[in-house]
Amino acid sequence: MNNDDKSDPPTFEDFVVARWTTLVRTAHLLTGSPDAGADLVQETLTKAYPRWDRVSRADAPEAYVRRMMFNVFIDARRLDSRRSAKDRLLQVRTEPSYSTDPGERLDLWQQLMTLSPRERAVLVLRYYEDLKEVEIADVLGISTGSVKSYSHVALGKLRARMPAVATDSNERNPDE
Amino acid sequence: MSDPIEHDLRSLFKERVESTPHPPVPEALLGLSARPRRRGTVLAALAAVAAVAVVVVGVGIGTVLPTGSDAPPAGQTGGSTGVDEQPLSDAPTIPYIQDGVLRHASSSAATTADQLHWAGDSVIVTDNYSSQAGDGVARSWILHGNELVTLPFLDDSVVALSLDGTEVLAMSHPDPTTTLLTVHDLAQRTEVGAIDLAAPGSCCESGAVDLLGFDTSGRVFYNEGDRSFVWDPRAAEPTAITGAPGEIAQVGTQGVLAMSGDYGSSTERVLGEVNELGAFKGGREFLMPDPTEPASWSPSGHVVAYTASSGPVVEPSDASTGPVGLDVGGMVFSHVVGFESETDLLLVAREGDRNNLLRCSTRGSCDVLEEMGGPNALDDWVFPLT
Repeated sequence: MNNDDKSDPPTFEDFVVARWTTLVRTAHLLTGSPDAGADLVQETLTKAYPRWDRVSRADAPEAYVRRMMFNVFIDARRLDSRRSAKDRLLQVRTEPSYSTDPGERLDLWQQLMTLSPRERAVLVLRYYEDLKEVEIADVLGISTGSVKSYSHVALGKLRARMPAVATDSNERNPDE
Repeated sequence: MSDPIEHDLRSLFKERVESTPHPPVPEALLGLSARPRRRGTVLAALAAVAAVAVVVVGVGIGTVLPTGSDAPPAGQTGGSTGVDEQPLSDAPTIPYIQDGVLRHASSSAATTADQLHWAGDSVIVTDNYSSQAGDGVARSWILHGNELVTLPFLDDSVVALSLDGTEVLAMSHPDPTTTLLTVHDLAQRTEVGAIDLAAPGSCCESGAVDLLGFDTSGRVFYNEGDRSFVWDPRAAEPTAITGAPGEIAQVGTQGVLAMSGDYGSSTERVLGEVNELGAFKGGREFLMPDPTEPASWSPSGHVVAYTASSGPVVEPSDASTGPVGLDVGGMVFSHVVGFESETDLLLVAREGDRNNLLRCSTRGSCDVLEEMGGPNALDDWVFPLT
């Protein structure tokens, strides 16, 4: 879908069909599960629908919706904090790992889920969507300094909690 | 070259999204009436359909209407009154929603809401999906007898109740770069105070704001960016909190709980107070293994329940005596629901894949109140947010 075509803004249905999978993938990484990710996208699109005339005429409708999605995700933190604990308990026991080193991969995924929503959002935008700091700042509505701060703190937590990963990788790649 | 953790994050993210099947587009989202096939989203999808229907048919909404005459009551049974289903024989004494029915004391009402706020005499439910539809229509309700009455000032909002239940905090995003906070008096339906966090000269940039709630003085606490703020809605501007070891995690009758740091597998939190200048003064400390799991306090704030490394415990907030473990038998503890009184609290524990609602005494013994069902059944229960 060409979101740059100003003369023909996408209809809501066209946008949903074209961008659903992309948005759900990002939301999956934010929320920790495909179903929760789909719920987050559904909630965001439900919110976007009534104002679709404005959204569809934005310079980049997908960026607009994605920004809404991150706001919805972070705003819902209090509710999530009540639900995430039990959700994680179940997910940890039922979700398979996709790594060649299942234990290590699952540990990293679990540790990611313990980060604050904003820290997780920064990491997803940086390492999954490959956005630059200024672009992450724009999506999250924060300064580039805050992006650096969140990124630094989040990576620090992961390194502290996953010393084996850093050590093993360093041994494999001593020049890095 | 990226460092090892960064490299692993890239590959982990890629593997996760490429190796996992994702749900298809819900038909409800495309305006169709079919129910979604995905689990755990029936109420959400129905609410979404309701929100869409409001726009399509252009229903005019008055200022105060019972739920039954407001948005299309998709998924509701018998409108907002006349609920036939019987409550649990030994029902929780705190308000709760089970299978779309809100119950509190002798009151009951059908609802599609998925958030519940309770303080003092006020019970407010919020339909998270339709409340965020941005169509200018309120989607939060307050329980009066067996009726849910709309709160017309809560538009596109997340709410928190003051500790005495007389005021409500609403947050809205008129556009993606603006965050508005307003406090309303529930009895008078008047605005106590408001602030635009994106306004020039205000304390904050915009965007991601985590509302924490009220303290006993009626001040509002929230986190924005990497800073925490306290805002007296009767004063002009928020004040940045200084002296706290980390961001504020909770606020309530007991004071303010600030994140402190990681110690081994546990996260330390410090219970303290914030004075009129925004200065934090810490008191006792808690070690809690889950950084996102909130602590729960009894109504007076004198007793706290939290998850220690050994499992769920209760103890006096002032630590005058040691923690008492809550005995969930052979079940696996999941999470604390909340206190019913100074001596009783509710929690969820699993036996196999079956979830159970337990009532525990602060002396440590627990009894099963109700079998809640399998993992997905938890979505059919809603308890008050802390």
